[in-house]
Amino acid sequence: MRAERSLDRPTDRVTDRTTDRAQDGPDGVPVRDRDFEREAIACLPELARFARSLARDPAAAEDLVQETYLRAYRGYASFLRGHDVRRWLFSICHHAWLRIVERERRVVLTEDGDEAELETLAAVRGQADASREGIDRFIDDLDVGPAIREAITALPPLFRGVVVLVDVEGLSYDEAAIVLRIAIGTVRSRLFRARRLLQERLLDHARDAGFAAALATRPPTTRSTTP
Amino acid sequence: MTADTDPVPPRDACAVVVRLLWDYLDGELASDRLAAIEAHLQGCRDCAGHYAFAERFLHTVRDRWPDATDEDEALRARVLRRLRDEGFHAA
Repeated sequence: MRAERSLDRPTDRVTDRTTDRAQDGPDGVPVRDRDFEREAIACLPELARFARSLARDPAAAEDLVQETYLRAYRGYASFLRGHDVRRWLFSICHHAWLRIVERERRVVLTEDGDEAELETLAAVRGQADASREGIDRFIDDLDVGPAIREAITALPPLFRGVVVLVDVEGLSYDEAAIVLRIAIGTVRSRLFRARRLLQERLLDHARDAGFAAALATRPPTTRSTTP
Repeated sequence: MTADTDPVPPRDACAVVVRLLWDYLDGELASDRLAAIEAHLQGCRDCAGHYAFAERFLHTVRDRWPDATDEDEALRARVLRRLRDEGFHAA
């Protein structure tokens, strides 16, 4: 089960952002800016990870992060106290990316899976096949880091984004749907298809690495049946 | 569409349980269906194997997702520099 989420925790902020622009702290730094740095800039690693999942290359991801922070800073006065800053930044980032995509006239919005449960079933069948071949234990025995990175790069950006939000950042389907402004069913179908694609690529990696041959020398273990 | 409305029916339970594998691991199921799946997994070695693999797979994806900590430090500096042009004062 997923670890407990840390979203929607109330902050201890005491600043009224509608009037705090002129309020300076003892060191002359505006309270608003101090809050922004503590709350929003602190989310940069997570935001950068999300931006990299969406953008076509590192330079585009950096532009997306900078654009997100500019928009966030300009709109920080209207950000509601107690809301989740990280989720707000994800949402700004996603909207900024959609605008870029639209500007570049890319057609990338037609890659949703329709049957989420069929994706799950396909993944289980793939694992069952791998189990019969004796390669499903590769995760414990192989350095899959490079394969994961390669598989992630090969995913369509819309799928990478939802995997980052749910699998890496720990958002619920509902929270991811709010960030991406899509239906929960679309989150689920994109997520499940992305996982199935990742799993297929990792199993192919294990096959390419000759892992089945290596395991053939090991004592046999009981394997499951195909659902 | 979420698959959390009914408990797992007794017939064809394995087929239902594997379809809900990721919903279960993501904690997205209603409590009655969650309990029904947990009960099924206690007695079904095949399904338990599929769930164990899926859990390891998701754990691997989460742990091996590429980060760029060094790049993040440089990016942070560039973001702050850009924000200063907007009037931002870093502490």
